[in-house]
Amino acid sequence: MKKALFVALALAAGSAVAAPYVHPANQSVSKATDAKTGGTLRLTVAGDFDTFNPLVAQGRPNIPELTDAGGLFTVDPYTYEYEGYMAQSFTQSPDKRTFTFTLRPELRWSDGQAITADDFISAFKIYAADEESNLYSYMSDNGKPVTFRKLGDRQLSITFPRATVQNLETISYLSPLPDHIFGRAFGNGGAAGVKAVRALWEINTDPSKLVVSGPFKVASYRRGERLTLTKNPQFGAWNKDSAGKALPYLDGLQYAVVKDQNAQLATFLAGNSDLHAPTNRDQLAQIVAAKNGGKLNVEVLANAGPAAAVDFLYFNWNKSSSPFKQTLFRNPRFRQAMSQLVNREQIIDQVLGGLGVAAYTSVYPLYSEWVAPNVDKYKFNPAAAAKTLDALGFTRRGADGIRVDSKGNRLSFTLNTNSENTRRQQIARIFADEAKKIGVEVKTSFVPFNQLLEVVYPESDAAKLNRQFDAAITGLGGGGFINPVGVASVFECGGDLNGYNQSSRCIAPWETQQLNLFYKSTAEFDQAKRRAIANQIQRLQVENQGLIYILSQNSHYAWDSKVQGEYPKKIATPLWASSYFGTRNIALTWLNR
Amino acid sequence: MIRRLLQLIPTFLISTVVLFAIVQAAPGDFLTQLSQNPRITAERLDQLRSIYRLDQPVIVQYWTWLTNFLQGNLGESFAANQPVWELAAPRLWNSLILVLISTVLAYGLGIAIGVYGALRPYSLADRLISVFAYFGLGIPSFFFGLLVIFGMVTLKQNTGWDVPIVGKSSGALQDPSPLRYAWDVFLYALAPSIVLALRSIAGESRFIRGQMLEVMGQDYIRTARAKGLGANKITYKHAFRNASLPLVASLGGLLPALIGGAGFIEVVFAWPGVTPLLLDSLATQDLYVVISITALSTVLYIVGNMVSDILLAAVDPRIRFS
Repeated sequence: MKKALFVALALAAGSAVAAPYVHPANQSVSKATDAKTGGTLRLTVAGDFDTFNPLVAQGRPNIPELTDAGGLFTVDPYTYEYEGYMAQSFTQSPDKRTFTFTLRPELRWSDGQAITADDFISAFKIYAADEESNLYSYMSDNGKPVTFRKLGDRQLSITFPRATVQNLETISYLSPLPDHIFGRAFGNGGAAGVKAVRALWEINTDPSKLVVSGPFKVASYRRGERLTLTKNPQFGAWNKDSAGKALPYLDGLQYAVVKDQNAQLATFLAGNSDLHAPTNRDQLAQIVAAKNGGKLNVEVLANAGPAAAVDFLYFNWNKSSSPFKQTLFRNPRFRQAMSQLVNREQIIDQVLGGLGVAAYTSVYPLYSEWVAPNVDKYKFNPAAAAKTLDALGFTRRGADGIRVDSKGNRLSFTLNTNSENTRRQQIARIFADEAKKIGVEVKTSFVPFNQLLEVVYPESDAAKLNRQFDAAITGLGGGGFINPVGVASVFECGGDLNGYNQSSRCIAPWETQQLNLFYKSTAEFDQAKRRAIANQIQRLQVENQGLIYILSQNSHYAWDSKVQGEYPKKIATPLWASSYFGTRNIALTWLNR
Repeated sequence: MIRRLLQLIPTFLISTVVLFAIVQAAPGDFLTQLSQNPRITAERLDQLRSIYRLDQPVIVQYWTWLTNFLQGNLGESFAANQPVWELAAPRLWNSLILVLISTVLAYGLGIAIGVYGALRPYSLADRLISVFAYFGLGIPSFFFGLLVIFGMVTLKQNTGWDVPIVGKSSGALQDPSPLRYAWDVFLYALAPSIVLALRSIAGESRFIRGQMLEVMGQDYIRTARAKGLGANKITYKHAFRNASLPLVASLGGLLPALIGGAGFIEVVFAWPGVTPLLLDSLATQDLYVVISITALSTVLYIVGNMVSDILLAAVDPRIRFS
């Protein structure tokens, strides 16, 4: 009997064909054969870390994120397609809702235990039970739970309530938790289980007790000073470079806690840190000056591309207290004219020193391949705007030079933005100046961000129909790249992030069209077809100017010249750059000492 | 004494109520920023609001906080997800290092310079010291801190010397011995401490100089001189002792500074003290961190004032504390 079992085990083991993940050669400018191993990369981080526990971690960056390998999927930055990472292979059911995965046989936790289907299954159970975990919301869709099944030691399946492209993104976020620690603590689940797993791995825990999957594990952490990570040798068992060498190349990472931006810059300028991402023109200029003056041996990648964020202006369609303004703001021709008063080029020049890109639709300029053609239809053109305003009946001018319609209504409104953001304030002022030239009075008002949010997104239904502002400039950042046309909460009428219309009913027919197209796009798995739908959505946006998009700021990166292994130019964009390592994959980074 | 302690209670209550009201009056709460994240649903926000008990009336929140505070529980930080005390304690310790070093520098140098100036009033050295003192008082310390950092970066770039620029310790040290580590931290603390002390040195030296000059002109000093006492004895035993009374009294005022930290200097030098934590917490409306730390320093402020009075009574026989 024992012998039979042994044979069965041997057969099972034999079927596990060795299949480490090979990091593609096209993702580093260095040749794999040139790469040297060893050395410590020195970085700065803006705040203290609070926990080692991935369920409790909230801010970014956090230690669990820095020591985590990732999930079942990863992305090819050239094709934007998802491919297996911890999963050696996967299949998708015909209804596109169920994914079945086979894990790589070499997967290991840092303590040497194999990473198996159990580690994923108990992680999913915990995520679904722990309302406070970051991944809780991904474990259900529209109130229906995501289900998962263990099919074998290395096989599992995940079934989503609906077939949407975002499911791919979701899978890439789902990372395993060590079942032999978290699963055991979770026990039979419930509130007690959640409490037990949340109590694990507090910041005072001995780092040697932590079990991680990523390229580095915690060596020591001194609060307010420094986090030291050291190479996790188990990672190299299933992560190889294109020459077959175990990754990562580096021996370790060191994060100095430096809160202040000027101090971070000073650290980099003094040669005490190896990577830095300048956040504005001034910082960039100082680094370039030090480089050109021969004081510092660094590489600078300025204007790597626009960041995944955008500023926009919108008018309040829910202003029942002022029927004149409400009607005016709901008129697409008025909004087209206003878009023609936004001098995006001048704003980028004056406010960002040229380091930015104009935006016209909900697709961030960063996703240039997704931006529909000819979307700059209503770019700066005061003459055309004046003509439109004439056609809308604002032909007379008052004694103060402001346009008035036949009923005596002055063409005047207040533009709000948040007082913490000087960029948006400057945009508002430039807009007001241009508007004044053709007889539109724009008063600017700057209030704290939280106060602005309360005005734009009031709580009660009655307040949503009579919001107390005319127009505002805010922005949006983040979101995924799988369907970068946007998110439902912006497109839904009354959606959480819909600035122009907070009433739950759609007011203009195009709003409904846009939303339906968006739903259609999320269910479209063919990338080309999804892009075609995104183009339709963008055409609606441009014609109707619900949100009048303005600009994205550019990102910049700098690093010590001895740091090697950055992305080739084509993919060295903010999209594939990470906020901590810049335009590089940390596993493929090496030091030329 | 007991009356003073009883007075502490209404002072503490009023100040914390006002503090609570101000923090709560600011628009939004800790979760408002999260609401701009497209990945977080409105239901989730409501859930979190009830987890953090931000949905309760302000009075209930205040009462919960107050009863916990009196039992030594400073509450939980929303942002860090851990007790405020655990979050604040290491920061307090770090601030203490700067405050102590700079206080020693300020008093030591301040007194020496002040006495020197008083003994040779209107001499060239005294005039020079005065000019520097006015500079010290006039330049905001955070700005001076930036200049110092700029100087140190330039020094490092041009000479390659391993100058401790910002932070609390050097990353090059691997597992240092406690003594070696303490020395490292001291080196990093030196620049911010000096910048911090500069203003106090200027202030204290002016103060001591003025006091000494006043005392030296008084009758009993002249009498002492007439009796033929040595110059040193007159200066240090009689004049300085009397001149330093107000200085001793101001020692109590140091107590709240211990918890208040070194202010913006900590931000400029990336020193992990209390001020950066407090600023972060204010920005994110991390209610209990802001309230508890401020309440602690209120208590210390009141206690510090009491200590000042007691000290003054102890050193000045003319003042009796009853």
